[in-house]
Order: sequence, then C-alpha cells, then structure tokens
Amino acid sequence: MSELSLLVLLPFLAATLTVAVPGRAASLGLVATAANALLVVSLCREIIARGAVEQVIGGWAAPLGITFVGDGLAAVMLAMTAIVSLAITAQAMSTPGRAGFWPLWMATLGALNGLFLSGDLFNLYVAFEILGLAAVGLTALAGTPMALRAAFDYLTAGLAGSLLILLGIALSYSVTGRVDLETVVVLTESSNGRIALALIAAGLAVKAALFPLHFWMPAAHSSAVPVASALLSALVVKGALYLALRLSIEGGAGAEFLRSALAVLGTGGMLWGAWNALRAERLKLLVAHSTVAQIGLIALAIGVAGDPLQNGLWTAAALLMLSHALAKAAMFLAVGRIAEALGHDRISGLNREELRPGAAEFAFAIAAISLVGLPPTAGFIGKWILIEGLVDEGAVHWIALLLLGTALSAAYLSRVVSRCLRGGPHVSATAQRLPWRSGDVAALGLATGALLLGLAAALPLTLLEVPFA
Amino acid sequence: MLPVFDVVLAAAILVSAALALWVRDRIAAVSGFLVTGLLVSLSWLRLGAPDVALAEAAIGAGLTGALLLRSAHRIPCAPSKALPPSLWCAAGALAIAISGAIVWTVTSFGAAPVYPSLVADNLPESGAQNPVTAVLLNFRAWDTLLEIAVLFVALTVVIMVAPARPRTAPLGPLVQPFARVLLPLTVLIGGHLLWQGGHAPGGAFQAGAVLAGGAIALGLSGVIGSKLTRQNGLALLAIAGLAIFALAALAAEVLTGALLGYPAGEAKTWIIAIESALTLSIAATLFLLFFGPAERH
Amino acid sequence: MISEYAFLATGAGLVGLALLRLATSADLLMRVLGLNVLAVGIAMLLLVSGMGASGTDAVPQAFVLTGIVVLVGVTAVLLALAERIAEDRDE
Repeated sequence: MSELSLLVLLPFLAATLTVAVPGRAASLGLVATAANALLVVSLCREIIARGAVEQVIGGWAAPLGITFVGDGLAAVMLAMTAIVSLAITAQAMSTPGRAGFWPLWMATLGALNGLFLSGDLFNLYVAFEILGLAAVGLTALAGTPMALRAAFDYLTAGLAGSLLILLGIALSYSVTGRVDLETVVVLTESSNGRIALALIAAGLAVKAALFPLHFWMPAAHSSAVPVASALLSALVVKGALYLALRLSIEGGAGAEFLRSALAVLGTGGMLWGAWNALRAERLKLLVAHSTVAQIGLIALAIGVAGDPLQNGLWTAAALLMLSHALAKAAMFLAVGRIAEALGHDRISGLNREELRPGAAEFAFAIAAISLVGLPPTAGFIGKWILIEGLVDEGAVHWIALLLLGTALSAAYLSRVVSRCLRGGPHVSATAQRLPWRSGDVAALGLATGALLLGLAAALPLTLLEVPFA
Repeated sequence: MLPVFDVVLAAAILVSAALALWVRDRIAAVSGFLVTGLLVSLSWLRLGAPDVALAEAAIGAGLTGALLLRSAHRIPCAPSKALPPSLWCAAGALAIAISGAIVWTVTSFGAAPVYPSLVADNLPESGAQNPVTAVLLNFRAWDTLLEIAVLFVALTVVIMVAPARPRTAPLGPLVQPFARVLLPLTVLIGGHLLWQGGHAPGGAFQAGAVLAGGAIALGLSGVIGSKLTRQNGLALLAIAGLAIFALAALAAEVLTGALLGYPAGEAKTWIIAIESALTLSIAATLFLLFFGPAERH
Repeated sequence: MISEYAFLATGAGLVGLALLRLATSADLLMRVLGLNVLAVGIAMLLLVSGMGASGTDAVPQAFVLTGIVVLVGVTAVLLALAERIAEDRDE
C-alpha cells in the first residue's frame, strides 16, 4: 500500500476505533499519530530522492477521477501537521480526557492530510467540511456556555465560507466544465472564471480568519480547551491558507489579482490583530489576536511573492506557515498551563510573587522569539527570504509594512514575556516552581523545535524546491 | 405548456423561500422551508436529475425539515433589532450584485462539460448502469468516503453536545396497526431503492434516508422508542459505515494496486456490498442525529 | 431554453435571498434556514450548468447528492448547539 493511501485512511480508521473502544482511545491515538509521522518521513525521503509523487485513485484519471498530488509543498504541510500532532497527542495523553476528543482529533488529522494531498476542487470542499465540523466539535469540547456560543458562531461562519467555496466551484464547473485543480489556470483567463476564483478565495478568507472576515475566530480560539486551541490556531486555519497558496501556484501569472487582494487584506490583518493584541486583557485573547496578525503576515507573504512559477519568493510563505504552526501550538499549550496554575489568565495578574517561572513560561518565551522572527528561527529565515526578494524588486513599502508588523508583534508579546520571566527582588524568597509534568514536554519541545527549525531550514527549503507535479 | 409550468414552479420556489426566511412564526418558517424543498425536488425532476430529486425530497426537505421542526420551539427568537436602513440597502445591493454576477457567469459562453463523454465511455466497466451511482461509488468514490466521514464527525459532535431528547407521543390504539405496517414498508422501500440504484434512480443515500425516516416516525410515536435508541449497538452500526468503506478502499488497493480500484469484473459485487453497508450505517446515523445520544454525560 | 433560464434565475435568486437574510438576521434558527437555502440555490446552479443535449451530466448530480448529505449532518450539529445554548440560558 502506498504512503498516500495510508496517510489519509489511517486517521479515519483510528477515529472509528476510538469511538468503538473508548477505553483505549488515548493509546490508539498515540499509535495513529506515530504511524502518521513515520509515513510522512518516508514520503519526504521519497519526494527528495525521486521528485513529486502522484496517485490516481481507483485508476480513474483526472478530471473524471481524483488524483492525490504529493509535491514538495504538500510534503512540508504534511510534515508540519505530523510534528504538531505528536505534541498535541503527548499533551492530550497527560491531561484527563474529555469524551469526543480523540475521534474529533483523529478526524481532523485525516481531513488535513486529505486536504494537502487532494488535486480536485470538489474533493477539497468535502475535506473542508470534515475539518470545519471537527474543529467546531473541538471548540465545543470545553462545554461552557461561552464555548458553545463560540462553536455555533464558528460553524455558521465556517459553513458560510465553505458554501462560498462550493458556489465558486459550481461556477468554475459552468465556465470550464471540470473541477480538478488544473482548471484553475483556465479560470484565470476569463473574467467569469475570475469571479468563480474570487468566490473560492472569499470562502477561504472566512475559513482562514483573514481580516476582515476573522470576526468568529478570537472567541472560538480563546474559549476552547488548550489542546483544542493549539490545534485550531496551529493547524486548522492552515488548511485554508495552504489552498490559497496552492491556487496562487496553479493560477500562475493569471492569479495576480488574487495575490493583490491577499496582500492588502493581509496587511490589514497584521495591523488590526496586533492592535487588538496590544489592548487585550486576557492572555488567551492576546494569543488569539496574535493569530489574526500572523495569518495576515502569511497572506501578505503569499500576496507579494509574485508568480510562484517565476520565482521562489512563495517559499517564504510556506516557511512562515511552518514556523507559526509550531510556535503557536507551543504558545497555546503553555498558556493553558499558565492559566491552570494561576486560576485565571488576566495579563495584569501575571506578575506574581509566590511562583517562579517554570517550563510553561520558558516555552512561551521561546515561542515568542519564533513568532517575532528573531534569528535563528525559521520565522526569521522566512522574513529574510521575503525581504531580500522585495529589495530586488524595489518594493520598499511592503518591506516597511513587514518591519512595522514585526515591531508590533515584539511589542505585544513582550507584554507577556516581561511579566512571565520576572525574577529578582519582586519574587519572594519562598517562591515555588510549578511541579514538572510530562505534558510540559509538548510545549517545550514544540517551542524548541520552532527555534531549531531555523538552523535546519535547508530541509524544508529542499523539499519546497521539488518542482510541482 | 411545460415551459409555463417551469416558470410558475421557479417563481413558486422563490416565493416560498422568501416566506420561509422572513415570516415571523417559527412553525410557518419551517413549513415554508419544507414546501420550498419539495418544490425544488420537483424542479430537479424537470432538470433531468431524478436521483438528486429523490435525495432532496427525502433528506433535504424531509429529514432536515424534521430536525428543524424538532428544534423550532426549543430555540428562542432573538430579539429583533431594527437594522439601520443604510445597512439594509447595502446588504440588498450586495445580494443583488452577487445574484447578477452568477447569472452573467453561467449564461456567458463556457466550455462544454468534459464529464458526460468520460462517464459514458467508462460506464460499462464501472459496475453500475446508473451513471450517478457509477460516479458516487466508483469514479469519485473518494468524495463519497469523505462524505461518510462528515456524517461520522457530525454524529460524534451531536453525541458530545447532547441536546435534550425529543418528546415522544404514544400513539392511540387506532394508529398502532398502521405504525406496525410502516416499519416493514420502509424496509421494503429502502431495500428497493438500494437495489434499484444500480440501474435506475436511487441508491444508498436515498434508501438510508427512507429507512431513517420510517424509524424516526416510529420512534416519535413511541413504538420503537427508548429501548432501541438507548443501545450502543445503533451507534456502532452508524460508525461501521466509515470503517467498512475505509477498509474496503485499502483492501482494493492490496488487490489491484489502486486505492478504491475494484478488481476487474467484480466492481458490481464490491459496489453492492459497500452500498448495503452504507445504507444501514446512514440510516442509523440519521436516526441518531435526530434522537441524540443514548444518555447525557 | 425558457425553463433553463427560469431555473437559473431561481438558483441565483435563492443564493441572493439567503445571503441577504444571513447578513441581516441575528436569529439562530434563521441563520440555519438561511444556510440551507443558500445550499439549495448552489445545488440548483450546479444542475442547471450540467444540462446538455444528451441529458444532465452525472458528475454535478453526484456533487449535489454529496452536498445534500453533508448539509444534513452540519444542520444537525448546528441545531444541537443552538438547543444547548438555549438550555444553558434558561438554567
């Protein structure tokens, strides 16, 4: 059996098993995430050695059938998912489980893998529906009235987004008579085709929480339980951003109108998210608004990269997605631990005298370094590639905006870091450290991973240079 | 004569949809939606799509309508705030612009669909004579597998969220015999639809919906009430659909080297086996989506 | 030909009506209804686009069938959430 088939089907089989044998759900989840990671490693090696892989499902070639496309970009996204999955599973195993977590988490994993590999627009729509529904379930897991309300708003926004995508697909069918991904370049050639693409992009903007369609997101991401927030912020929104990048690649030069829109909205998101993060009073909300800002940054990177078939600037966006996934998952897990220890998550209350900073605070600080994009993180390399390319093009205004966004992210994250890592005379002599817990490995591991990814950035960059199938 | 009928039908759909969306009374709104669904399925018969017309009548109008009726009274009306007229005008203008763009896009010249000839050429090998069934369970079976996964996730979330169970009303002695006929009848109709799906309109989804519809009617009347719905076996049957479909997909790959690639000449057997499993699983899922979990956590 | 245009206008009209309702209502049940009407409108557009001389294209028919089943699942979740929100408010 090929890696691709197992990548998409193992999580779904694991999901059904976790329902059938709830007592063993956690160990089943661990086996499935570990197997998933091994499959991704083997797929990446194959892609580096032999180039992009394709698999025709059922032996029916596109456009009638559906094809899995495993190229460098898909492999990087799968690897990002696999790394974060291991940490999420480790964290979930060390905290008391809630009924429904494991099947929803496994379904999320299967939907993400299916999304990154799919080469067909309608199939992508169905994968988005699984992803959206599972994400809503994860939001509602907390069971509080606030979480339920956030879940309802999330689902209505998400469904409106996927129906816009479906409307775009219906129109692209009426314009080109087919719905596989190769139809995208045909769509960019006519004005009615561009309407179809614009509708798909609008749906993606809702799903990715791209400014100004992010209204549903801060409530959903901040009221969920920590593992769920980490999943939603690190992975689920990436599904839509990935497809936006994929459309930009498939559309080539003709997709410039989409990229311009992404650049403008991305800038708006970067500034608006940062402004709200600066004013946030609760830690979880600050991190959620920072996701709005970071999504804006990634959209901006896709938008200003130009035609991906002509230059390699788009790899910066992929690298930023990877770095954000690791760092933001680490950050939400750390915030969960901090809030649990304090009994609240007010930022003004982080200055405490009776507790010394522990593993969670350090994980938060290291993740913050990645999000701001200081060397040697992958976030730094992503921004560096982008700025270098923009210097060559003489696009000074975009560079200025990028630097402004970076400065703002440093400002809002230092609000937390400066309070968290406080030592010296403010801390009383009898202050205690939080007891070490196996779940802390997840947050620290992800944060360190995001930091070290900068040193090993050659690996994802080699993968991304594998030509598209 | 028929174009006149179509124009009247088209107008009636729009009017009933507008009524459903703007009428104040909850039950009237849901009834409006039901009528819209039935008119729409009639229009899809006119558009030459009997399979989807059947599915829309059974699932889109029937089951969704039942779900909406169940919830209509339990969800309180939001206090209606009068929106500023400027906002209304902006939203209206945007809606008209989008509708106009859609009409313009669909009517301006587009390429002919590439699928009909491909479907026709490959139909003999597909194991189904009904082209829609061939697409759903062979050419694009991966879409269908993911769709079953959607149902699985929906059921998981509903069981987790656990709303209160719908009230059942015991039937009077006069109706009891009728109810006892209803279940065997839905089983017969469901089985017929499933079998017919291979060569005529019908298939697993319509059959599953009919079965679920009959079971829901009986469940509401208390005939098969609490005993059946409280058992875990039904939930296991519901999730078995996804597991069986996924295992079949992998088994096919072991045999032929292609994911979901049925062995040559045996496609019909595979499709019927998968469809039968899906019918039962879909019926159980839809039934549980309506009645909710066995007990509240 | 006339029939085709009539149903095309219906599809586009349903999409417009649903979007207008979704933009102007905060009511939970109305949002569920609006999203369902939106989906029906899109399905109508797919079927109208699939009409040809030799009958209606089977592939968009399969898309619509998939869409109907997906939507009933999502609707059930939406209503379950809305009911729980209402219950929590009452308590």
